[in-house]
Amino acid sequence: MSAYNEIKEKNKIYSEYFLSSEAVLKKYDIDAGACEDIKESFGLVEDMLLYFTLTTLSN
Amino acid sequence: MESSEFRSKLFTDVLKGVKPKRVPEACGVNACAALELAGYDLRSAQYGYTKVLEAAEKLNAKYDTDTLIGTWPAMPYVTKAIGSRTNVMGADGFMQHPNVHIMEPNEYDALIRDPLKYMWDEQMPRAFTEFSEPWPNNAFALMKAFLMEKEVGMKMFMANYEMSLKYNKSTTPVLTGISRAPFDYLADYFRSFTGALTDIRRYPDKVLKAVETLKPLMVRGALASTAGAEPTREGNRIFFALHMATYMRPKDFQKFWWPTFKETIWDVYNAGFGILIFAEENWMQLLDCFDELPPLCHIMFEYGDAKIIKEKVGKKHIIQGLYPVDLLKRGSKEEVTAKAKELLDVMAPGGQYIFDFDKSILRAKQVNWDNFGYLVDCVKEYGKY
Repeated sequence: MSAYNEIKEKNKIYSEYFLSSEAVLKKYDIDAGACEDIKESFGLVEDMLLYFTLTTLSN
Repeated sequence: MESSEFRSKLFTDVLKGVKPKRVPEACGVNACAALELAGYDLRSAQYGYTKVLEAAEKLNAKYDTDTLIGTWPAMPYVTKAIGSRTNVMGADGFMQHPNVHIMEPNEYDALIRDPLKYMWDEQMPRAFTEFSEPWPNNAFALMKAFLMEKEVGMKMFMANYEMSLKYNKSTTPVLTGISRAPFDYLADYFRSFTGALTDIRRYPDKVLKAVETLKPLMVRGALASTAGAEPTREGNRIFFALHMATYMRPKDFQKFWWPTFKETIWDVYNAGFGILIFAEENWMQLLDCFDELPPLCHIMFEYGDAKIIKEKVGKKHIIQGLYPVDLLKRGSKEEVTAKAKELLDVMAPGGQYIFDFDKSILRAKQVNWDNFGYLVDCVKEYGKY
């Protein structure tokens, strides 16, 4: 795991808005085989939300 | 004339801890000053980028600075799109930050339990009136703000890059992302300046827990700014504008402010980013703290004793700032250049120094612009190693 990802994991944010893998599978009826792809997409959305949260407040 | 490449290398050398050919200067000039010099009314000229670029072009053609000046404007159209209460245009068109409190003290538990949920459910709609509109209008407001910021930001970025090459300015990026000290974030966007200082006496445990809860957000928000690209310390610097620290008692600073800031900085650094800090106000009583941060943090100082700052901070970190911008208004050419030489004599030895004002020129009438030109030329000549 790269240092970047280690730090990301260390600073994991727990929120009702961020679904676990299990919750993603259940909520969206996702095929288990596609779960990793979906998780990656959701991860990008999470990053975008975090970036919004930090930068929007500067406005 | 020095090339853009030469000037860019002056900065990258300093950022790597290498002594450059001469001291680079990054004398900050706000876009509002450029607009006023070009004869524009701030109340309308900031709504877009065409007048900003036109004004910046005139300024950069005239002054032989190392970096592009007078370019990045505020974006009042973005704050208008979201109905910001924290960033509003003053009567003369200059953007102001009113001391508003968005969160009540009895909401600490909700913030600590799920900060993201609290912020988007409660805090954002209060800070930004358009987010309190019923769905989907609130979603549209966010999308408008995001896309305007992205579109205009990208056009400004490209135009600035071309202008940098045209006028032989450095293209070394100043910063690529922002983050905050967790306590500053709590004070500036939740509880206000006065509210946060009151809370550390009335609800110390909740404040401590709140800043610990906010710290991961400060790190993840910074990391997200690279959009997945591999960060580099010289090319990707995360900017921290420090606010509350110098207004706190030292023991409160040590307890409430410093620990989570230090952890944030180390995490961002260890993820591969460079660190750019604006140490607002006077940090003389707190200088030793900077020794606990990773090496080669780029720290912009506002006030303080240059000799002591160089001695205590300048060996480990990169220092920028400290030239009293007020002197450009009241001083003669001789006084302006003598002060620059005095500062360079102290700060330049050994490198790791970027010449700059204590604070940027915000308005056109703030300085005598002839003095600005004399100063820039003086630094280039006298700052040679």
